[in-house]
Amino acid sequence: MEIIKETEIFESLLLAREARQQYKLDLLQKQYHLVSLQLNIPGLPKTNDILTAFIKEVEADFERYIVSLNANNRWSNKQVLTDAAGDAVIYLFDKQQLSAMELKAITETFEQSFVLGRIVDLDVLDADGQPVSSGKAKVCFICEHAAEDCRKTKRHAIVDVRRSMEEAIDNYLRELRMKEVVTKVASIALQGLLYEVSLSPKPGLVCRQSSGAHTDMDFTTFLNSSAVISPYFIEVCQLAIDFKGKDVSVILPRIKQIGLKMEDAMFNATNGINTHKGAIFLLALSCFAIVRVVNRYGYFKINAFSSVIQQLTRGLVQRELCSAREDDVLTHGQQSFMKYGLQAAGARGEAEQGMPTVLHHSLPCLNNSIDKKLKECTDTEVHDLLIPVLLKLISLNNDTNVIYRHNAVMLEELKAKAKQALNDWDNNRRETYTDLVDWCNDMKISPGGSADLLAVTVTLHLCQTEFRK
Amino acid sequence: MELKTKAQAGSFESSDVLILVEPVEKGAGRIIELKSIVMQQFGDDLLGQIHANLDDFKIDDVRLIINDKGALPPTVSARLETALKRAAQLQSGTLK
Repeated sequence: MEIIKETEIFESLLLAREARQQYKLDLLQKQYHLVSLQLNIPGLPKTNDILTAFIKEVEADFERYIVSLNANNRWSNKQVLTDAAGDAVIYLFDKQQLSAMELKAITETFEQSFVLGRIVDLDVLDADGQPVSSGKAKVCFICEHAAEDCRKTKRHAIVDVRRSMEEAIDNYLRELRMKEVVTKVASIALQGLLYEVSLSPKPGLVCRQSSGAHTDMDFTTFLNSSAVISPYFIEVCQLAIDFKGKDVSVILPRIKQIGLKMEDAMFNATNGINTHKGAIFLLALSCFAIVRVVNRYGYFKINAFSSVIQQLTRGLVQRELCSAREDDVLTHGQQSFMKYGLQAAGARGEAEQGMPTVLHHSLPCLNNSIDKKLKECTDTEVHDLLIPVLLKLISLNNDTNVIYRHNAVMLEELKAKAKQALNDWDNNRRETYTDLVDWCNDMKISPGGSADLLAVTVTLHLCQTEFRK
Repeated sequence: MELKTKAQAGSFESSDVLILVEPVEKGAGRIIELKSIVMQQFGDDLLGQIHANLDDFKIDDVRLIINDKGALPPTVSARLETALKRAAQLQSGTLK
């Protein structure tokens, strides 16, 4: 039974190759040189999901390569074929534009420069239907002999060659996906920062037209700070890829080292003003946790994210807040904690609990009110979506920025006002929000901690959309 | 097998072979033009296989133009058989 099946597949493969050749010749019309991109995989089947995914990547890479040599190197026509002979991408180049020899030279340098070039077959057929050959022999995938020599002498079993090629392709695709995840998550984190600062007007916070309650920084300060912080997101994301261990708590110092570099860069860019310290802390942890989760599960799972954050920061409040002594040099967060205790655990407390304010309040608030992709929303739509999310955060968050500069009574008043403003906003009475903005600006109240959580909320929302199951 | 017309089988895809069959006068013998990317090491093997296949089909007079892109023996045999059967009009196929 198995043998009959093999024969049938072999026959269909031979027929498919003949048909493909005829198809190619028919395309030429004496007018075009043809380049075909195929994979050189021994054994059967000639196509499957992984091979198709791989050839798609090679295709994109090859096209960038051609255009990078000369922007005028454009193919007149492109076709993607899949049959028993495998996947193929066929390009037709007008013969007036590039000679067949030039095309052959291009395909050869590409094959040589491409990591898995030995698996890739780029053939050139000139406008008269003649294959253009360089006469150079391809090297075997396994050893350094000529590939044809190994095939003919059966130096390696076909299954071995195939397995090693499939492994290489698998690794190649996995690394590519990881790189993609890293750059995507890093840019999404920056997006979170930019959406937060651009939301205008905000109560007491720096926004586009106003510095809110602040006198030492404005919108531009935040742009400068965001710009210098952003490259480090890539570093944290990469750390999550490289870290293979099970217990993430051991990696916290490494994340903090990157965080400290970010703080240095921030202070350097802002002339010593703290624009983003809290955001750096929360987003650096978030970047690590997002990439770890996406890498592990293949999609962004919010509960897994929360638990990674918890594991990363377990004992942080105890170590950094409870154990701080009054004669130490203390951060604002530590000083507030000393005065008010757990209520003022701030960003550390939020992280150690797995970001409950975001997970259970602000993120659902955003997710429930949005009916299309955030990136498709206009400026006004983003504004209308994010104001309630910010109000939700202010109404719940024990913002240490407020506690430190004012006191717990003021914090409670702010939370109550935000709750009222949110309620009114939902009932189309927006003037309460405007009053809150004015009140905060006048009273110099700046809920910076809530602003940080807004940036995190936007980041997590975008990741949920980007890395769907 | 009696060859009646020109025919071909195969392709110049990698690991394949393109075989052109042309009937010739009785007594002309086997005229074989062989080009292969592995001519140096495996040309003789390939030729031996072609002759053996022609023996099987009892064909003594024929012109074969063979362009080999590294086909393995089963592929060569299959392509030759198809080309011959097409030339004998026992099997349909394309020839342009």
